[in-house]
Amino acid sequence: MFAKMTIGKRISIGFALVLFLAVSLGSMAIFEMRKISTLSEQLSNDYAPEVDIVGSIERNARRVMYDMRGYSFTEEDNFLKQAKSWRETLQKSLDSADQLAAKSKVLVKLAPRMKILKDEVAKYDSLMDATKVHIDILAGQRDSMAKMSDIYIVASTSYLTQQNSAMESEFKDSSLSLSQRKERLAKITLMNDAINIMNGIRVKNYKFQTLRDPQSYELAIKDFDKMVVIEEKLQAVTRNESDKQLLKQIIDAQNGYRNEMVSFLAEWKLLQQVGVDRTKVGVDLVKQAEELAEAGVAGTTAIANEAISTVNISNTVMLWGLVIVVLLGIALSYTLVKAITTSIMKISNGLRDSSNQVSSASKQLSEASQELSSSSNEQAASIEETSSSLEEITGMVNNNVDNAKKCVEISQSVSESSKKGNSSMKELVESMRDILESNEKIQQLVKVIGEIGEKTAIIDEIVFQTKLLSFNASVEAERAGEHGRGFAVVAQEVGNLAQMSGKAATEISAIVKESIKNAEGITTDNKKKVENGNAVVKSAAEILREISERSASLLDNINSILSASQDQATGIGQINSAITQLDKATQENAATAEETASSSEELSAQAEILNNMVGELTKIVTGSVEVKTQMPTMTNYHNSTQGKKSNVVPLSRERKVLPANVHMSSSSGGEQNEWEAV
Amino acid sequence: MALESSALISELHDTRTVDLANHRRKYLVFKLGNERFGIELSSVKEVIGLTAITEIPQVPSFFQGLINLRGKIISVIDLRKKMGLPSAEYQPKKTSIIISEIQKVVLGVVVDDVEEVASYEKEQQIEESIEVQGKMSKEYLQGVAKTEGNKLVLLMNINKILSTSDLAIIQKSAA
Repeated sequence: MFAKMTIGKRISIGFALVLFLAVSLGSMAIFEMRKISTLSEQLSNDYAPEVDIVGSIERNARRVMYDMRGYSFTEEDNFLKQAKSWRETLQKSLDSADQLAAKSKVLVKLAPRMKILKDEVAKYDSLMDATKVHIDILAGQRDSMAKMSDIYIVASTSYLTQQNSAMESEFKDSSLSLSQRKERLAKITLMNDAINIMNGIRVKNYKFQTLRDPQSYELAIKDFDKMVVIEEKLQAVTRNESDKQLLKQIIDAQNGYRNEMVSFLAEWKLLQQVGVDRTKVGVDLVKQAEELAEAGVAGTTAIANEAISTVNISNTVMLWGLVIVVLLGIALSYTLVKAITTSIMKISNGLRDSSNQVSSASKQLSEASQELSSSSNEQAASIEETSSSLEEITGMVNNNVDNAKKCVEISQSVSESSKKGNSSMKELVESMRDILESNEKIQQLVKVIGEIGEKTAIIDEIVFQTKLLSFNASVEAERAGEHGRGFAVVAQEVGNLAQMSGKAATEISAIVKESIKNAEGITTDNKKKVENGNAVVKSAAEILREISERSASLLDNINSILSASQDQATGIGQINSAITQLDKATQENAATAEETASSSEELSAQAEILNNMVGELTKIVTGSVEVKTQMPTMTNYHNSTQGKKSNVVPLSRERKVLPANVHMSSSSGGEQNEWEAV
Repeated sequence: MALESSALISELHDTRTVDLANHRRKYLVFKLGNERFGIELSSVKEVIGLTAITEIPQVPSFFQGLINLRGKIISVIDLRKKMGLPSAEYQPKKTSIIISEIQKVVLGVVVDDVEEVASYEKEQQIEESIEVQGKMSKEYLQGVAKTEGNKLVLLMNINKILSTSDLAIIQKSAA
C-alpha cells in the first residue's frame, strides 16, 4: 500500500497514527492526576488539620488535668495558674476545631462530636471552680485553727505561770494546810496534762494534713473529750477571778479549735469528692478527644489508600499504552528510512569533494594569521613588562619626592626649635643678670649690717665707761663710809647693768660678724654660679647656632634632591609616551592579526559548515561517521586561535591604567613651585 | 636678772646695817692674765680707762710712764711687769688704770681688766695664812678669798707692791 505513495505522504500518515495514540494516553493520565489532586487537597485542608487540632485538644486537656491534680494535692496557686493557662490554650484548640468543622464539607461528624466534647469541658470548668472554692475555705480554716491554738497556748501558759508563782509564794507560807498545797499541785498537773493532750491533737492535725489520713484525725477530735474532763476538774478548784477568766479563755479557744477541726474534716472530704468527680469528667473528656483523634486518623488513612489505588491503576494503563506506542513507532520508522536514504546518497558524494578543497585552503590562511597573532602577543607581553617596571620606577620617584618633602618639614621644625632655644637662652641670661642685681642688694645689706657693728662698738665704749663709773661710785661710797652704803648698792647695780649691756653688745657683734660672713658667702656663691651659668649658656648658644646652620645646609641638599626627582619624573613621562606609541602600534598589529584570523576563521567555518552538511547528509543516508576524519586539524586550530586572541585583550586594559600614574608625577608643575618656595 | 641682783643687793645691805663689826670687807676685783686679784676698795681712789701714757727714759721697766688726770700728773706702773708676769698688749675698753694712794703717793696701776666690786666675809671666805713660793713675794699677798664655784681671788696689799726705792724713783719722776 505504501509503495505507490510519496515520501511526504508516508511520513504524515505514520506520525498521525503515533500522535493519536500519544494524545489518548496523555488525556487518561491527566484525568487520573486530577482525581489524586482532589484527594490530596482533602488530606491537606481537612483531615490533616483535624488530626492536628484534635491531638492538641487531647494534649492540652491532659495538661489541664495534670496541673489541677497538682493543685488539689499541694494547694499551691502556681499549679492553678498553670492549669488556667493550659485551659486557655485548650480553648484556642477548641475554637479552631469549631472553625474547621464550619469550613469543611467533608468532616460531617466533627461538629456533633465537638458539641459533646465542649459539654464535658464545661463540666470540668465548673469542677475546677469548685476545687478552688474548697481549697480557699480550707486555707481560711487552717488560719483560724492556728489562731485558736495560739490563743490556747498563750492562755494556758500564763495560767501555768500564775499557778507556779503562787506555789512558790505558798512554799514560804507555813500556815497553809497540806490539802491546800496538794490542790495547787493538782492544778498544775491538770493544766500540764491538758496542754500535752492539746499538743498531741495539734500534732495529729498536722500529720493528717501532710499524710491525708482521716482516721487519726477523727481520733484526735475524740481526744477533746478527755480535755473537757480535765477542765471540769480545774473549774471546780479554780477560785481566783483572773484565773477563772483565763480558764474561760482556754476553754473557748479549745472549743473553737475543735469546731474548726470538725468543719475542716467535712470540707476536706468534700474536696476529695470534687477531686474524684473532676478526675472522672477529665478522663471522659480525654477519652472523647482520643476517639475523635482516632476517627480523624481513620479518615485520613482511607483517603490516602484511595489515592494510592488511583495511582496504581493509572500506572498500569500508562505502561501498557507506552509499550503499544513504542512498538508501532519502530515499525513505522523502519519502513520510512529505508525509502528515503538511497536517493540522497548520490548528491552527498558530489558535495564532499568540493568541501575538502575549500577546507585545505582555509587551513593555510589560518596558519599564517596564527604566526602573526603569536608574534604580536609576544610584543604585547614585553610592553606589559616594560610598563609594569615603569610603574615601579614611578612609585620609587614619588616616594623620593614624599621623603624629600618630609625632610624639608623636619629641617624647618629643627630651625624653629633652635630659634626657640635661642630665645630661652636670652631669657636665661636676663634672669642671671637679675641674680647679679640681687647680689648687689645683698652687699648693700652687708654694709648696713657693718654699720650696725660699728654702732655696737660705740655701745661697747659706753658700757666700758659706765663700768668704770660704777667702780668709781663704789670707791666714793666706800670713802663716804656709813653714809655711802646706799650709794654703794646703786653703784653695784649700775655695774651689773653695764656688765649685762656688755654681754648683749658682744652677742650683737658676734651675730653681726656671722651675718656678714653668711651674706658674703652667699654673694660669692651666687657670683660663681652665675659665671658657670654664663659659660653653659655660651656653649648652648654655640650649639644652637651650629644646629641652625646645619639645618640650613640640609635644606639645600634636600632641595637639590627634590629637583633631581622632578627631572626623573619628566624622563619617566617621556619614556611613557614612547611606550604608549609602541603600544598603539602593537595594538594595530594585533587588530590586523585578529581581522585576518577572523576572516580565515570565517572561511574555515564556512568549509566546516559545508563539510558538516555533507557529513550529516551522509549520516542521514548511511549512518556512518567516515567523513569526519578529514577535519580534526581545522577544529584544533580554531580552538587555539580563540585562546591566543583572548591574551591580547587584558593587556590593553593594563595599558589604560598606567599612563595616568606617570602623568601625575611628571607634570606636577604646581608642586615644583611649592618645593622651590620651601 | 635685774630683779634678782637687786634682791641680792638689798640682802647685802641688810647684813651690812646689822653687822657692822667689820666682818665683811670690800675689794675691787681685777684680772691679770687668767688670774683674778683683789685690792681693798678703801685703798682705791678711782678707776679710769686707758689714756695716753707718756713714757719716761731710764726708769725700771715696770714704771710705764706718766698720765694727765684732770690736770694732775700721775705715775703709772704696769702690774704685770712689776709682778714678773709676761707682758701683754693693752686692749682698749678692757685695760684699765686703778688710781690709788700708796704711802701718800698717788699712783696709777695698769691691770688687764677690772671686773667687779665684791665683798667677802672675813672669817669664812678669806684665808690669810698661806705659804707662797715663787716670784710673788708674800709681802704684797694679803690672802686668798674663796668665791662661788670654788674660784680663788688673790687678795693684794697695794701698799706693799712697791719697795721704798721704787717709790723714791716714782716720786722723783712725778715731781
